[in-house]
Amino acid sequence: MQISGVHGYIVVQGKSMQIKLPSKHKFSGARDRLWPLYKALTDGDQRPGNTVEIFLDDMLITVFLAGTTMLMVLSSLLVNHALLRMTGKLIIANMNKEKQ
Amino acid sequence: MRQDISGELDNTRCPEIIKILSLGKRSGRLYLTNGVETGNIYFSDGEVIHAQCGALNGVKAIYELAVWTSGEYRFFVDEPSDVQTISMRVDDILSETTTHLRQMDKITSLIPSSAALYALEPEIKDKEIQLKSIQWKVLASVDGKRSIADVAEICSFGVSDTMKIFYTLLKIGVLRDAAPQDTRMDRRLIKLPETEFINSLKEALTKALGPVAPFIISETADELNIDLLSDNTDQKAYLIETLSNKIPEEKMSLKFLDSMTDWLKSEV
Repeated sequence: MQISGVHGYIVVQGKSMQIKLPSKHKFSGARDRLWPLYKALTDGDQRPGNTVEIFLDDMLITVFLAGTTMLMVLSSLLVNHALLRMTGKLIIANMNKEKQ
Repeated sequence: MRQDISGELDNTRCPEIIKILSLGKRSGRLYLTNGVETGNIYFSDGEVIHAQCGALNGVKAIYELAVWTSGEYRFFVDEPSDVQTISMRVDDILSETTTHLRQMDKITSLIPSSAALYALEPEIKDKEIQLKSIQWKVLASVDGKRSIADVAEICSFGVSDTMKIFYTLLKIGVLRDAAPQDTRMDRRLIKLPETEFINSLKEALTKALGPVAPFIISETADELNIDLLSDNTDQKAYLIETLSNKIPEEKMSLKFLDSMTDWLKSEV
């Protein structure tokens, strides 16, 4: 995900979680805190769409969901939001295709 | 009936499969389907000996099958053909197929798909037009309601051959888009700026939505209050994203996103 302003990403598929973030990033050690978020977001009844944007004070978390796969992209608030959403949508579609 | 190779045509197209089976000196039947039509190509020791697609046989059937970009294929080992309609070498078949695909790319730049509708042009500019018998046959079946695929079926021609004929008839000026006159007038009034971005956008969206694409771009830009001549990458990305959401078929929408995201990233 080579977009200016993107810090890194987290991929969760079933019981596996892969974190690709700089070691000093505040989410790099947040594995335990991410599981409840994953569980809440992958519950389809709780949300209307497949993309969730969470605006924090200093960061944007964009979550892409497809079935039990979750791609979470962490970026600065100044990132090109639409480009980020489009790229994430393509990546999650490819991940889902590979999984099938 | 033993099946040992199968896959999707989205990932591997017919000419590539032929090449693989030829290199492996395989014998058997390659079955292909695009969801609506089916076709078969028979191999003997890696050589293609027979092909069939709808009413077409021989190399013409391979040309037809090579155009398919979605669907499935399966290879059945040791299913020989009783007939031989092809005696060309595989390399020659593939080279001819590549030429045919290039022609089809040119055609699809004018004709979006075999579902497109055309009608007779009431205002023919040239005084004298010469048509071949096959062009007459196609022209006689055009009524503004039949799609190219319908006309192909009526004339017992292959769809890609019929598209070629439509292309020629459109270029000659005896056919026109079958959209209602008022819509055509509206579309004629849509004059998008000629920038690299807009041209790429128009091309990618036309592949997904057909000739109505310029109208949709203009309408969406107005809705979003976006200046099409602006160099603002955020606005361009927002326009692309909104347009992708207007493409009803998910696969086409992702294809559009893919091509335009690459374009946008090269600019950032």
